[in-house]
Amino acid sequence: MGAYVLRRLFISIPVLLGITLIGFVALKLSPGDPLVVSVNPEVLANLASNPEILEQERKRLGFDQPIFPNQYFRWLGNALQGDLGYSITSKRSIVHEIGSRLPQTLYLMLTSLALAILIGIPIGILTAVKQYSKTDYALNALAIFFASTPVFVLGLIGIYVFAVNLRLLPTSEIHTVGRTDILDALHHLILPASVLAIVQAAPLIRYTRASMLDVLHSDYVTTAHSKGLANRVVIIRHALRNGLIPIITIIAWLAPEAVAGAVITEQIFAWGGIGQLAVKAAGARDPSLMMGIILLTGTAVLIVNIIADVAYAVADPRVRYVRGT
Amino acid sequence: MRARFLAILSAIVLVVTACQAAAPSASAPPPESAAPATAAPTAAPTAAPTPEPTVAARPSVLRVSRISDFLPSIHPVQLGTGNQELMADLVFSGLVDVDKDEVTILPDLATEWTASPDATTYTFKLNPAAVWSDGEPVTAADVVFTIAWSAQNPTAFKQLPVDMWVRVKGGAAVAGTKNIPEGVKAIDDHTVEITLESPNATFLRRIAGAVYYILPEHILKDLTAAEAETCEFCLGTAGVTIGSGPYDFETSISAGGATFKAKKGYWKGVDGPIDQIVYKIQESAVSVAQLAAGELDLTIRVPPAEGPGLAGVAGLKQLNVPGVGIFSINFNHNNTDKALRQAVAYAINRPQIIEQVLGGLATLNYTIPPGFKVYDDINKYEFDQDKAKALLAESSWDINSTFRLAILAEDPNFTVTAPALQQSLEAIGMKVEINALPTAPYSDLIQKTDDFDSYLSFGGSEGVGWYQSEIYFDCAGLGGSQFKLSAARGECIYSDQFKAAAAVVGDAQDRILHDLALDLNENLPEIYLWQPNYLHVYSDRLGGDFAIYPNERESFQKILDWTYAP
Repeated sequence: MGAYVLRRLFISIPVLLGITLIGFVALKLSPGDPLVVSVNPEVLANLASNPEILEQERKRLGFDQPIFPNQYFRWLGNALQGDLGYSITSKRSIVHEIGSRLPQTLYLMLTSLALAILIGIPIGILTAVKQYSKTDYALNALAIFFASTPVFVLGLIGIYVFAVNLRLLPTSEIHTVGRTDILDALHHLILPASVLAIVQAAPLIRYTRASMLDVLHSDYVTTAHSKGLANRVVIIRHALRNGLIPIITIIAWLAPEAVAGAVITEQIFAWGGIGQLAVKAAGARDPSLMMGIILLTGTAVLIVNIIADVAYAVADPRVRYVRGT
Repeated sequence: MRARFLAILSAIVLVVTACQAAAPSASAPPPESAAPATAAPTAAPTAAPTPEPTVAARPSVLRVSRISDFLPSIHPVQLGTGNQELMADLVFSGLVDVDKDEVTILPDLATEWTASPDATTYTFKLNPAAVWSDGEPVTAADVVFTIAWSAQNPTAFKQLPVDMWVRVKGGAAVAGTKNIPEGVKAIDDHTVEITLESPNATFLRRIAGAVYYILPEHILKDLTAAEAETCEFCLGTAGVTIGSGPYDFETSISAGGATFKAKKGYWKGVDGPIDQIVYKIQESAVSVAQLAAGELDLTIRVPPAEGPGLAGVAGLKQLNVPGVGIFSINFNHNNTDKALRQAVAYAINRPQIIEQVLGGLATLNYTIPPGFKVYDDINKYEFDQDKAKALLAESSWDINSTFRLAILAEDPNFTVTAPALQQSLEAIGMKVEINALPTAPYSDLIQKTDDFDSYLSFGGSEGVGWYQSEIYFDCAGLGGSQFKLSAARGECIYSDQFKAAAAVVGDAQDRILHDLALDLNENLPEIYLWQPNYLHVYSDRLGGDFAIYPNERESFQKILDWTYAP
């Protein structure tokens, strides 16, 4: 297993480099001068009337050199030493910018993902076991409804009903001003985490149901039943384990968001996480910040994929890395 | 059985949610209950509302928000957005402040001042009680340092220019050196004399702006221009950035805002009326939701269309005022001639667009800078399609070519009105192409290319007074590139007139401004269309001399005179 993980890690390195290279070149080739967007539009002309300032800044930031290899390798060399540069808009280090927001994103996204798994998998199993029953139809209809409802619609409805109208929950942000206690933090978490969990649970229900239906109709499940095993034992111990592989794929697909942030949800709930930072970075065309976020997201995707591969192997002992001949 | 229960529970939740969501719309008050639709800017509320005795006591925390234009620095070299200026007003002090009428000069660090009859030499007496947050006294040396540093590093100022500091006598000569301009002198520890290169009667009003606040020499004496963008002090860092204003940073500036705490025993003899100010920089939609949920006490610049929806929220008041920013059509003067610009002005039915497109929430402008007096002989360019067509025919514009109008894609001020302007111009036979761009490509297009014929712009504070327009016509500053006037006319045609007007007062000034207005009105370097309204929403707990200034960026200058009922 150790060699398997190491091999997967080794394969991930060139993939990550490829992601960063494509991201870097694409950002550099995109229209717009990153220096200009750091200036208030009301007075941006002031900058252009002092072209020497522009040139000094460009040289200082290395923008006057070829994108590849000079600028890319300069960025990569610095990144390997933990220096991702500075945001041209906030003037703070990228490590600080990302580091200060990552906990908020992890807090929201891991909670919502956990909730989604807790809701989605049991309901998916239930609908599979009760196939073509009223329960199956009702829960499937709900799952389709939530899967097809944009997250911002659910978010706005949630804010309107529970915050503005009922005033049971706060509209947005991570905590109330002046409070840092856990109860307040949980109070603020309920609405965004619930909205995200519902949206994430919906596909999980559908995939779990489909996967479980495949397994429940297998010969070995019929055999288990015929041996007199309890229904619960057959479902949990025999069927679910084999039905997990596609479910793990879906969770692996959802998990990188836990690091990259849910862009729309964080915007709606003014949740100061990575998703909101990504929107600001794109709007301001802040190349260092965008590269930092690309690196973070790419790394998260690769790590989650490795974890998913390991989980496949744990869930199904037949899955093993076999060295090619 | 449990599955059935789950399904029933889900259905109940959905139905309850739907019912709750529908309820408030029925009880929402009609739009006309909104607070003063077009109150004069100076009609800000001044009476302190009596707090209801039944209201539960809250800690003295003021929660403020404003739209999310954001630059992190608090140093004048990067001071450009309203958010920065408002924060700077809390933490720092200038020599003087301005009252809510935007005219009356008030003491700040200086308790008294005199001006020479020719408006060239100004002498300020500093308040001897003034101290920085670390207890060090504020002295004339700090004033000399601030002015000298600005004159020594004029190109460091990448947002708002500090031209009043640069225009002190000998200011230009010290650029790039460590020398003190001969026009600024510390007479004693608490007296400073500033002599300008040329007379300027608007000097006091101009230096009341946030960008002219005084810096602590003992902290920043070795600061270089490059460091001024990233130093901890410059980024508004709690515990590091110290000022002489009534508040200190409690948390550092971030993209989400900052928090401030009132100084105890403030040197002006009265402490900030609110213990803590939470300043949020956020999207307007988030602010609107927080206002409706009672999570904010003041939001500056709410989209005016949100007014009716917020009118029924208990405890909130609204101030809907004509803004001091101007919405205008600017031209590429290398590509257009005067007859074309005049044709465009006549082709646009501005009152109709204000009424039908903007819902009446804007003030008509008569095609001169909004801070100017509307003289009787100003041509108001009232809607006249025949005249527009005649001028278009007379111009050098090729009727078969496409008139490229660039707009900001992200701003509703642009996207809502651009189609109406397009239709107006097409009605006189022009082919108009709207080029909607994000901020960066939009800026690049205007700054670095000639690939446009015109662009829409919005912002500024010209409505405060004629002098606020000067920077937009200064060939060494904004005017040279914004209007491309130098390229088009080969000379700096308007800057000198602004300077001449600033050098005199009374009738002499009025004559110069009248001539200038007529010139601008005739040549139309830009077509001033209208001033969109600003809507500010605030809690009725705010009182005393609380006011949102016409130039809302200056609204915290008199915060010591506010009251707040927690």
